[in-house]
Amino acid sequence: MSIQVNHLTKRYGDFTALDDIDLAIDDGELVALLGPSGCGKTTLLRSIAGMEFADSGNILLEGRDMTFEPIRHRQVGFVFQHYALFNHMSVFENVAYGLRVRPRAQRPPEAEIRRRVHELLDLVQLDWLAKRFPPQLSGGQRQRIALARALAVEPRYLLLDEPFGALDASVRKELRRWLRRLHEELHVTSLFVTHDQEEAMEVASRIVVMNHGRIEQVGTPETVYDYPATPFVSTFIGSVNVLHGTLRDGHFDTGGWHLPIPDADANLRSRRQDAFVRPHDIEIVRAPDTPWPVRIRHVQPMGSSYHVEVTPVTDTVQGPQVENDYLTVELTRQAFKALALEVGEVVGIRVHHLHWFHQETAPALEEAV
Amino acid sequence: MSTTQNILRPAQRTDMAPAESIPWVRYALSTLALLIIALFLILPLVAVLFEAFREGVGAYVDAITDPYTGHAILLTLITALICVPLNTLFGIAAAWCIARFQFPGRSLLTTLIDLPFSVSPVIAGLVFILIFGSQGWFGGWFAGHGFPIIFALPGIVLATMFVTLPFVARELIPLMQEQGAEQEEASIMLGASAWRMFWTITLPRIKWGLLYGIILCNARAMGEFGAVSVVSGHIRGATNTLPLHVEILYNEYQFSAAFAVATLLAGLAIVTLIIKSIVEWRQQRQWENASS
Repeated sequence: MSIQVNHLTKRYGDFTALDDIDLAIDDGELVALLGPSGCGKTTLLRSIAGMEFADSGNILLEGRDMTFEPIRHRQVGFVFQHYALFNHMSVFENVAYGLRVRPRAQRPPEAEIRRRVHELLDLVQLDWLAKRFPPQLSGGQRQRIALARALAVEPRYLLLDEPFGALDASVRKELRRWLRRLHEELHVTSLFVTHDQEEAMEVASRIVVMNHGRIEQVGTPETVYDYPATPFVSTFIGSVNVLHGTLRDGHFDTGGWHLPIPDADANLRSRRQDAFVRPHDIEIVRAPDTPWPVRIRHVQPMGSSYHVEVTPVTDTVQGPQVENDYLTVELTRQAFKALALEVGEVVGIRVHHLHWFHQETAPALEEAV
Repeated sequence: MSTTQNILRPAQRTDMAPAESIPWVRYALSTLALLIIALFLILPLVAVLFEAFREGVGAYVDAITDPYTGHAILLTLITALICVPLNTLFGIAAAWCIARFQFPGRSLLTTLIDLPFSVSPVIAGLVFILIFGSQGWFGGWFAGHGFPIIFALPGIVLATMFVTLPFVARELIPLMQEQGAEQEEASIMLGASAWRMFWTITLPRIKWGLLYGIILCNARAMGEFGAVSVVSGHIRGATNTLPLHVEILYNEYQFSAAFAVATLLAGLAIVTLIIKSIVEWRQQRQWENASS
C-alpha cells in the first residue's frame, strides 16, 4: 500500500474539513479526489503533502507513519492550481530549483543538473522555452513546466491540486490526455483533486468521491457511474432524474405512475423512496396508449446527442413527483431525428433502468424495467 | 493619456460623465495641482538654497565644514546606520508573520505597527524620558552603570527607531499578502529549507518594495526632529543631529549657516526622491512583466 490514510480528521472552528477519512492507494495508481468545493478534497491532498496537519488520524507512506514528518521527508511532488512558478526565474531555473536546493552532499554536479532539466523539458515537450520566464508562457505551458519542476526531484508521489482548473476548456482536454499518457510512461503514484466529474472519469483509474469531509465512494470510473453507492454519488457523477415515491409490490409508485420492477422482491416495501433514472435510460416512444405520457418542453442539441426536457402529463388527481417538475431524456442523434419531435407535443416514455437506495445509506439495488 | 481617454470614452454615454471628458475641468485641476506643488514644495526649496548662498559661497562652505556640523552629520549617519538595518529586520519579520500566519493577536500587531504614525513624535520622545530619564523608571539604573540613555546616543537611536518603525513593515505587509504563499509553498515542496526559501524566493519577490520601505525609513531617520529633540539635549558636538543643528544655528541668528546645513538635508531628500522614483519605476515594470 503506497499511501494509506487512517481516520484522518481536521476541523477549522465549527467546520469539519475532513471527517474520519480512510483511504488506501496502491503503487502506480492514478487516483482522482472528486467532490464539490468545500468537500475537503484539497485539505486531504495538502495533508498528505504535509502542508496541513490533521487533528487526529494518521498518514502512512510505504507503511511508515509520516503524519508529523516535515514535507521534505515525504518525497512528494506537488502541482498547484495556479502553477506557483517562480516568476523571477527562467523556466530552466524553475525546473532546476529542486535539484539546486539539495544539501551540498546530495546535489548533482552542474552538468548532471543541466542534463536532467533538459530531459524533463523534453518530456513535457517544452525544451524550446528553457530561457523564457513564466509570465511569458501560456497557462497550459506553465502547468506543464510546473509538472516538470515537480518531477525533477523524482518524487514517489505526485499530488496535483486542480491542475487544470485555471485553463481553457480546449487546453484542459488536451492536458488531461497528456497527463494520462505521462502517467502510463512514468508510473509514479499520482493523486489529483478535481471538481469536474468528466475530468475524473477521463483521467483517473480510480475515483474517490467526497462530500462534506467524508468519502462517499471509492471505485473505478465505471463502478461509480454504474453502481453509485449513495444518492450524492448518483447526482454528482453524471446527470440523473430524481423521482419521489414509494416502493410496493414490485413497483415503484410515484403519483399515478406505477413503474414495474421485474424480479424485485414483491414484499419489498418502503414508504418514502427516491428513485434515480439516468437521462440515457429513458426512451421516447410514439404509442397511442402509453401509460406514461409526457409533453416535450424543451429540446437542447448537445452536438452528438440531444437533451429533451419533458413534463409528465396526467389526467389523475396526483401526477408523478419529479424533482424540478421535469425529466431530462438523452437521445442519440439518430433516435432524435427518427422521432422528429416537436416542442409541445405529447409522447410516451419508457424507463429502462432505475436505481434506488434503501434508507439513504444501503448499497444500490439495481433493477431493469 | 490618450489610452486613458479611449478607455473612458464609452463611459461618456452613461449619465455620469467622468471629469476627464470635460477639457476645462482637466486643465483647471492640473493647474491647481501644479500651483500647490510650486507654492508648498518648490518655493521653500528655492528659498533654502537662496538663503544658504545669501552671504556667498565662502560662508556656505564655512558653515558646512564647521566641526560641529561635521559632528552632526556623523551623528545623523550613525543613527541612521543603526536604526535602518534594525527596522528593516523588524519590518521583514513582522510582515512575514502578519502576511503568512494566523495567530492570536495578529490584528493587534498590525495596529501596533501603525502606532508611531498616530502618536506625535514629541510624545514618543517624552515617553522615553519617562522610562529612561534620570527621574524615570530605569534611567537611574542605566546611568548608574555608566550607560546613560537620555541626552546620549542610545536615546537618539531609541527615539528614531520608534518613529521609523512602521515604514518597512507597512510597505511589505500588503505586498506579501497580495503575493500569497503559493510560491513559497512550492519552494518548500521542492525540498528547500526555510532559510533557502527566503533568499531564493521571498526576498527576490519583495526586493523593490523592501528597498522602497528602506528609503522612506532612512529619509525619516535622518530627518527626524521632534522625538530626537526631546531626548537628545542638544549638546553641541555630542548629541546634536543635523535637524537639531539647523534649529540651533537658526536660533542663534546664524541664518545663512542654518540654511546651508539645511541644504544638506534637502539634498538628501532630493537624492531619496530620485532613488524612490527609480525604484517605483522598476517595481511597476516588474508588476507589468508579472501580470502580462
